[in-house]
Amino acid sequence: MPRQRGELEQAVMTALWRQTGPVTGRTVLRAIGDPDLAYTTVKTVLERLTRKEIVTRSSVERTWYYSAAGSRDEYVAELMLAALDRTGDRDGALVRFAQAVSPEEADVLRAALDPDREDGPR
Amino acid sequence: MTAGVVYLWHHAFVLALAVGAGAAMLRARWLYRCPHVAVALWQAVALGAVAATLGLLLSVGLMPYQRGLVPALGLFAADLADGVPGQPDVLRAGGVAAGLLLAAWIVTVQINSAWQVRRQRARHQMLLRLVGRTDPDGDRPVVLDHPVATAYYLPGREGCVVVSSGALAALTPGQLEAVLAHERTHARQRHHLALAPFQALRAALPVATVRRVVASIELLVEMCADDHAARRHGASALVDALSRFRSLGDRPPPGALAVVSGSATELRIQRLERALPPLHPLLCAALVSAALVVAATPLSLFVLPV
Repeated sequence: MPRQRGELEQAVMTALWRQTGPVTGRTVLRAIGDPDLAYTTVKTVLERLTRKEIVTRSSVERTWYYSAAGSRDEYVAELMLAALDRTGDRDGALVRFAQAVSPEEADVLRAALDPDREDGPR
Repeated sequence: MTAGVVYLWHHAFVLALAVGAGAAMLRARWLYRCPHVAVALWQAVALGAVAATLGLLLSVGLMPYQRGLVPALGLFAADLADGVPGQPDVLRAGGVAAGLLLAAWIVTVQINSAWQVRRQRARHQMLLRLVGRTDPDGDRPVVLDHPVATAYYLPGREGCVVVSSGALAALTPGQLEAVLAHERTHARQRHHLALAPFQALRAALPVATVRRVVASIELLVEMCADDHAARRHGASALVDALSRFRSLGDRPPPGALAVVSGSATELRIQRLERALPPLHPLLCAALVSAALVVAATPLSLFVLPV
């Protein structure tokens, strides 16, 4: 079945988020469980996501082990914070309907993110 | 009075005019009756102010050449290269240097901001692909699973409208359609492009006046989108959606007296409820052409007379 752009990335991330620790590309391929999917394709997606700092990898005995850099909830929180931020430094990225967040809620969202990622994308 | 002095006064006059117009527009509520024209007026005022400021500084330095600013700059550079002692003098060289530095600063600020916004959008787009829920049948918004209500348009090559599950839960189907029409208007009319230079300026120079001007333009852009959504789905659906958003968020922090951040939403609701008639098209045309003349004359003096 042909996949749309982003669908495979989503499948790879879902597989990584379900794992408890770093896993190899083969494990990700098995977790996706699509018989038509080639290992090299999964490997390419993992490398691309690593470059974009969504996935981190480490080498153990010359095999790459991959894990998600942030949890799904953290990424949702990052998007919501960008959408709701009142401080003005991210205003250029979006056009919002209306501000519908209380300062307390904004603080909760900020707290959901790691301190080192708080200053946004690098 | 020589031609050079006349240019100097002209730039000073346009600058004063732009500043005066800007100050008046910050207070003018009648602009809400023609938000598209108002955005164009702000663009003309900003362009006029920038061109006149640059023109003023450069004219100080280039007055003796009796030429347009661009050809005079060439002569100035030639004089510098020839190294005539005492020519050009300190005041004139200072004026030219200040003008060129200001121009360079403006260009740098705009390019830098465009670059940063592009990166932010790319990351936002990618994260949306990973955690957003998309319907296969194209035209529906991307849904973000989060209880806080929000709806926005993410500009870009693969720009898309995003709503949170909190917003889906808070709005009736009719209200949701009005909100989506509002966001799609932002997309279609490319409002992010109109806002970008102003938002870049605010990021670089976050002083009170700049903030007020940019907030005012952002409000006008929202009103443009409101108008279209209200025509398609009725003003009441949009007013209800805005009121819903306002009641969910925008609660003042404990101890605060005024709901400052809520005032923009409040103004939009009032405006939709009153349904003031739009400004007469002839008046709109007159305003736009006046603004064009004001913005274009300092620019023309950059080249003329050759």
